[in-house]
Amino acid sequence: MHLKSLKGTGFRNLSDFELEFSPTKNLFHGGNGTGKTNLLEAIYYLSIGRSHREAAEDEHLIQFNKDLMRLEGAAEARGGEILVESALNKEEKRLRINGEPQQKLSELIGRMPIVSLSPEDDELCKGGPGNRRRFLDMAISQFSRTYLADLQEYRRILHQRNRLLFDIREGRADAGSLEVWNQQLVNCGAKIIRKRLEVIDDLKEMAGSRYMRISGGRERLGLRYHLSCKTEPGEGVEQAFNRALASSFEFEKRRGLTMFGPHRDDLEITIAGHRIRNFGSQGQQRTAAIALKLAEAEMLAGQLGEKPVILLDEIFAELDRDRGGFLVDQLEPDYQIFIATAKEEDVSARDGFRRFRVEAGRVAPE
Amino acid sequence: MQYGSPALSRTIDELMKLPGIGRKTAQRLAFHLLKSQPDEARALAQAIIELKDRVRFCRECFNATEQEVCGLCRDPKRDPAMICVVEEANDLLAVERTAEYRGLFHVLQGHLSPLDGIGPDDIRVRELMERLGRAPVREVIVATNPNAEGEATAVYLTKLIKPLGIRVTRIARGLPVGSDLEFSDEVTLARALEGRLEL
Ligand SMILES: [Zn+2]
Repeated sequence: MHLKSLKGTGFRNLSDFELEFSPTKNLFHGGNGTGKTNLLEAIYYLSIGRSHREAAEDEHLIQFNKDLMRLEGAAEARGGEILVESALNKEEKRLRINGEPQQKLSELIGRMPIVSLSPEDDELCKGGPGNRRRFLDMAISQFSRTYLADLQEYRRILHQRNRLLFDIREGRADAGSLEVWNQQLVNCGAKIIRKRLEVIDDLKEMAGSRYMRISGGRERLGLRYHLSCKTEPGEGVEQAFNRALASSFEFEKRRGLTMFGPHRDDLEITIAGHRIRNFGSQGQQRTAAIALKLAEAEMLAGQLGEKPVILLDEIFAELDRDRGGFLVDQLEPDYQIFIATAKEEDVSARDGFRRFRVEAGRVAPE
Repeated sequence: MQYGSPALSRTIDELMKLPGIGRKTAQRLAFHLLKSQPDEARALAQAIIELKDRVRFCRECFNATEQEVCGLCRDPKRDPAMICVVEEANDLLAVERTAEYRGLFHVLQGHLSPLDGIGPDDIRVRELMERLGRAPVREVIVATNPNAEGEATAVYLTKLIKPLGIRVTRIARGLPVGSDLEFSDEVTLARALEGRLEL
């Protein structure tokens, strides 16, 4: 799949733009704060319907002094040509696919598969478990509609159950009514966990070999799914989940929160058997994050039968030049890549890039 | 908000109390009514008054009707040993449109939803249980919506009804996930009715 063109108005600091891209390699270059990263963000937003920057609120995407942000992109995807229009004002979000207004943002996910590598990915290894759950959920949702629907349903059940726990604590509801929600939570949660386990099995191989190649083959990267509820030997996910819920009713009631389930699980990343979150160096953590993202791209390509778009934000600029070069090489051939960098010399030695110069929010092809 | 006329403000406020209607839509409807022919607005007002005066809920199944007991419940061709449980009266219409189902209905008038403060006592569960105690029912088909709340309601009903020795089936998941029964097309719904699962 590749993005053919992107038109935008009112997006962050960017002046109105209309760009035609190369189906293979594209480069945005300019100094810091010029807006080159915002271009990557615009492409991500068009594909997923939200920013890849976790802290970014939707309304911050709208240019200061403007009421509306609008993006329009045309892509060549497995199902043929696809036109996506995304608009956002202070009150609402609008989405059209091929001219048809969409009620649900989830209609968009997976139509234009995308993987973004950016300095924020450092949180994947360093940050809290939420970062790793988000990584898994985004990777899986892009190829499995069922998974995305299960996630949405799970979130809904979770809200209902948390509210009920709170009402039980306050004496407004009967403890007996929790059982039906437990059953719902376990059924839906187990589907999510099983899918994650299956995907981690795939990712483990791919991320492992990527990591070896980038690091020069000295260390082993490991992935393991960490359940929030303890399992006894021979016990299935449902049983363990049910047991955890049953035995911690008082605890959950006191807190008014559901303490077990896929929303509390973690993906454990290890280097040579040690947990990278506690023991990894910054270089190891970044290399592992890159390996995971490249594995995600490879998995999506396999599952969807088309290659996702790759966004590279400065990330290789912070690796040494050999590694940076190596990273781009790993992605060839026929991935469409967008690179944003301040160091032009990192890429200038290479051919075949369509270049765009970004200066004070203005983007122009060279 | 001030609209320069208390009557206009009041109309907008009342319209906004309806489900799915926000301020913008309420304004549009109110201005539409303002511009329409006098009879048109009056006919709407009259229809709403008669709706409240004449229409009530069937004593048996809680479907909307102008009699004590609705036409479906009085129809001798319907099989009284089979009851299809739906959330709302419009879900009942969706099942009826398939022309596949020959049993009776029970309208819960809602679903379990702690977030909205709705528990088992707030929907027509007690009435359903009373009905099952009165009449010999062979099968209950639970056709609540295929979303979190509908599923929870189905699980709850199954737990209550199964011990009575009545067969409980759940409408099969042939429906698009997350969709409401009301919007599904007749073919999928008919297929879902055929392929219902034992709970
Ligand atoms: Zn009736």
